[in-house]
Amino acid sequence: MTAGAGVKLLTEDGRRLDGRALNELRRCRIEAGVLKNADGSAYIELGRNKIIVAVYGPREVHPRHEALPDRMLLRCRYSMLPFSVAEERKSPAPTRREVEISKVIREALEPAIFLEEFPRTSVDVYIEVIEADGSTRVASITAAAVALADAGIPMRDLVAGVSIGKIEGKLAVDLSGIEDQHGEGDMPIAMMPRLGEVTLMQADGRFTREEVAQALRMAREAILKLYEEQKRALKERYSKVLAAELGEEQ
Amino acid sequence: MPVYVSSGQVVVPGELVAEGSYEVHGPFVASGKRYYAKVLSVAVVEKTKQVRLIPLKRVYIPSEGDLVVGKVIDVGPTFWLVDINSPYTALLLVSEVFPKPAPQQRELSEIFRVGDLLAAKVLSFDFAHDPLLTVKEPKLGKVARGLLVEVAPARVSRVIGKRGQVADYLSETLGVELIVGRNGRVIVIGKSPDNEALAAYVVTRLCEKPYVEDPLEEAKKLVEVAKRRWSA
Repeated sequence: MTAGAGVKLLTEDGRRLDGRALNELRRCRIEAGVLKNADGSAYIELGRNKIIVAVYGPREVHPRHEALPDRMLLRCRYSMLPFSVAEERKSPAPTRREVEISKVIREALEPAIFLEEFPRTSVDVYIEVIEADGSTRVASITAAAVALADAGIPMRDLVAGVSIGKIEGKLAVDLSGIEDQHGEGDMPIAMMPRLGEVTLMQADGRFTREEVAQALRMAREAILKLYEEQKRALKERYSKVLAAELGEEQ
Repeated sequence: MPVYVSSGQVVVPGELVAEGSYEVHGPFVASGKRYYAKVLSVAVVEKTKQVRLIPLKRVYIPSEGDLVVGKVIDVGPTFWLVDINSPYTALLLVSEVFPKPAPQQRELSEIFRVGDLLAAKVLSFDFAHDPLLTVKEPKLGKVARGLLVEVAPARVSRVIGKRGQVADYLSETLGVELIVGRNGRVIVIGKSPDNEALAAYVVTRLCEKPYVEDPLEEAKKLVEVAKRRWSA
């Protein structure tokens, strides 16, 4: 995306439009196990983004010929609800963009899952964006990893993602919708936080070598914060039930 | 050589559980002497350098010798297709029901029909082939009456208990016969519908919590609660 001339994204004291510092994430809240009918689920609020993820599986593959003889088939569908965007109502039909995002999300999650554990089965990840405000693909990844863990899928690590952008020549963490639109670049990055391995990295706009290196450092720092929230969400969901049980013993 | 979790703690996939000369049971990944959880589990630290990870959710994966409760979903020329509440659909071959010569296909549906419930044993399973079932043992075959209770496969083992203690206790005190399928399906057969409803209630409640320390104690408590409620 080219620089939107005339749109000021930074105030005089170097703060962003929503008052954040350059390396500050928006408020993030994750809840695990929000759906009863799915095998695993998660809900994430990242700033004004609201995304719900449902996971089904491991289950029998339909259509059957898509089954893989030696591993599990991971399928993802990222979809935005018609009212999720600020502009005109989005058509409910999958757009090119949604199809692409579904693919990159699948590829970002795949390395974390022990796919070979359940051959000839599938795991389906359905991502519904209820409200969008920038960085939805990485927020979706963060929530999808929680939903997969909630479904009891064997994993090496969770996956969390954050976008690094360039606004007025400076790198900034976790772009909002308006910063994405008028900024000079957007670089979504996802990692396995404990292993520190990158599973998604895209970019539009121009970044120098130094900027890429710095972006990765900034992403890692932010991802570790998101990782804490992911763990908290998963633990809280079950600890509550376990604590209730202990209280009952008295 | 520390252990990083305490008993009753929930661990997420990829979380470091213990390091050093520990014995870790349950789903884990090891990297050298470091042990990481693989699925969402509850950790239980046992006295002698042992950590047990109990998965909170699990699909049923057939294993040779398991007793399962299946539902017939299709009748083939020489077999029945049986849903065993697993990602893998099971086959029950005619030869595992009858000695040769096998009856004709049209007669097969006179034996087991679509929708019938079967108590069966897993004869064999590897991930490359569908599981095979058998009913050639006493007490196996079609289940004609009783009440079906569906519980989480990860929690069904507590209905059985150590050496079948819990199942024995339940059938004795509640006067019912229990068929506990490893795939999370439990059939209670009682003398009266009241008996069955009571037992079904206890089984359901027993499997509600993600983790119970002593299933037998839990079952005893639930039976008491249930009996009080039923008599009131």
